[in-house]
Amino acid sequence: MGLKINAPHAVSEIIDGEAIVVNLKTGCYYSMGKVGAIIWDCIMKNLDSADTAKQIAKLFDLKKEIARREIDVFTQELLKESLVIMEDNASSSPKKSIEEQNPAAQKLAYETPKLVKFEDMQDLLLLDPVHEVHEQQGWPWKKDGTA
Amino acid sequence: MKFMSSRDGRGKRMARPDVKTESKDRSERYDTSVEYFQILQKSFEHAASDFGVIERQYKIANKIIKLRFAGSSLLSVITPALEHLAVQNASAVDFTVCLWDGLSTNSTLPFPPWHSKKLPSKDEQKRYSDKRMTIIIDSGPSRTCFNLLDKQQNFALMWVDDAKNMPYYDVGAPLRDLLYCWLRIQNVQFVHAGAVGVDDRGVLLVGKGGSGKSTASLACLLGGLKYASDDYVLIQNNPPRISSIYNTVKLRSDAMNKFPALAKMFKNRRFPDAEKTVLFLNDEFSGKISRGFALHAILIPKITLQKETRLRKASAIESLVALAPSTILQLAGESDGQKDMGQLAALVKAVPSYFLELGSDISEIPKVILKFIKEGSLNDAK
Repeated sequence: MGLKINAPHAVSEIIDGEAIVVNLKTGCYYSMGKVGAIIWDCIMKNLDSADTAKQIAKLFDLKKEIARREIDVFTQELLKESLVIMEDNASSSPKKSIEEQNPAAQKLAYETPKLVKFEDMQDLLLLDPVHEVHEQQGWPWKKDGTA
Repeated sequence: MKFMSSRDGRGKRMARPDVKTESKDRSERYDTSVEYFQILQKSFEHAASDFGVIERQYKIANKIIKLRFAGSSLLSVITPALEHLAVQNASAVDFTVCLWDGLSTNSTLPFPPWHSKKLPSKDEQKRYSDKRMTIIIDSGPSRTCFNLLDKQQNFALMWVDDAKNMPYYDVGAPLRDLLYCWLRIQNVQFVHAGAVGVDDRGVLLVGKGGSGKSTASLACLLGGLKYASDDYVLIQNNPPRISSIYNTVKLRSDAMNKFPALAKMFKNRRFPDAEKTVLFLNDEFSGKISRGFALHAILIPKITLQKETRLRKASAIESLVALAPSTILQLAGESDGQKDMGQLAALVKAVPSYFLELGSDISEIPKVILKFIKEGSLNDAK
C-alpha cells in the first residue's frame, strides 16, 4: 500500500472494531465503519493493500480483487483528508504481525467502507499567535506601538 | 549559545540572544531553555521584591500546588475558580507556579531563545519543549500569556501582559494549559467534561459545547447532587476517579431563564458583556462543591424534544467520540495527542456509558441521575 498514518497530526483509537480518528491540524474527526477500521488497523501495522485485501477477504463475503479496489478507493479518501501519507519505500517501516484470521465459517456481510467526516469542533483549535518582537522593548509588542 | 546581555532579568534591558544558527543540537537548545527560565525567574523575583509576594496553596487531584503572586493584580483573576480546593500550610509542595503581570509590575518578557521576529506557531513551540522545559504561549485579542514549565523541578513561571484584560474563559479555567501539561506527567488526565455525584460516586458528563453539559451539571447542583465541574475535570485511573479543578460554571446569558435560583449571582456576575457568563459557585454553594468522586459511569447529554429525561446505553466508541475530540483539540498538542487518546480510550473501556436524553423539564435531570447513581443500573434508572 505504501501508506502510513500521518502522525502526529492524525491520532486514532479502535474500540470494538470501530475507529475514531482526529486530525489535529484541521480539527475534523472521522468514523469509518467496521471495514474502514480494519483497513485503518492494517495501515497502522504497515500492511500493503494486497495483504489488507487478503484480510478483508478472509472475514467478509468478498473477492480479493474487489476488496483491493475498494481499499484503493477508501485509502484515496484517507489521503485526501491527510489522515495518511505516502510512505517512501526506502524508509518504509517493517510490517507488524497481525492476528492470523482463520477463514470464517460464516463470512460477515460486507459493507463498503465509508469515511464520515465531522467538522463541528474545528473552532476549538486555537489560532496560532503572531506578535512582533521589538528590538528594545522585547516581546510581546503590539503593532500599534503599545507594549 | 549565550545571551549577549542579561543585566537584571527585568526584560526591559535585555538584548537579543545570540542565536547563531538554526542547526543547533538538542543539548544547546536545552541549555538555552534553562538559562531563559533563570532570567525569567529573576524578573519574577524583582517584581516580587518591588510589589510583595502573596502565596496560596491548593490541593488538586491530591497534589499540593503553590501559587506565588508578585503583586496582587492576578490574585482576583486566578484564585476564585480554585477556592474550593484551597489548603493552608501543607507540609510538602508538589508544584510551584510564580505569577506576575507586565502592566502592574512594569515588566516585559526578555527576548525568547528562538531566532525569529515572531512568536513561534503551535508547531514551532515543540522545538522549545524537551524533556525538561515546556513553553506554552496563549495569545488572544485582549492579552498574551506566557508559561514556562520546568518539568524536572516541578516549577513554572506564568507572565501575563495585562491582568485586567484576562477574558472570561481564563478566569473560569485559570492556568488550564499549564496544569494540563504538569498534571499529565503525574498521570492525571485533564478532560473536557462536567461531573456531578452523590456521596463518593459520580458521573462524567461529556460532549461538545452546547450539548447540555452545563445545564445538566447545574440542574444537578440545584437538585441536591454535589458538583465537581461543568467543563473540565481531572481523571485518574486504577480505579477511575474524578477530581474537581474549577468551581465555576459558564453559561450563556439567556440561561438565567432556566435557573431563576441563580438570579442574584447573575446580577453580580463579572464579564456582563461576554459571550458567556462565569459564575463562581463556591461563593453560594460551598457545601455542595465536591473535591471529587469515584467514577461510576459516563453520561453523554443529548438535548431532545421529549418531556422526560431518560438514560439509554451507549457503546464505548460512542462515548469516546463524545469525549476525545473536544478534549484533545482543546488541550493536547500534537506531541501529546495520541497518548491522550489512549488514556481516554482506557477510560471509556473501564466504566459503562449512557446517553442522557435531556427532557424539557429540567428538574427531572437530577432525579434521573441521582436514582441511577444510587441504584446503579440502567433499568433502575428508567
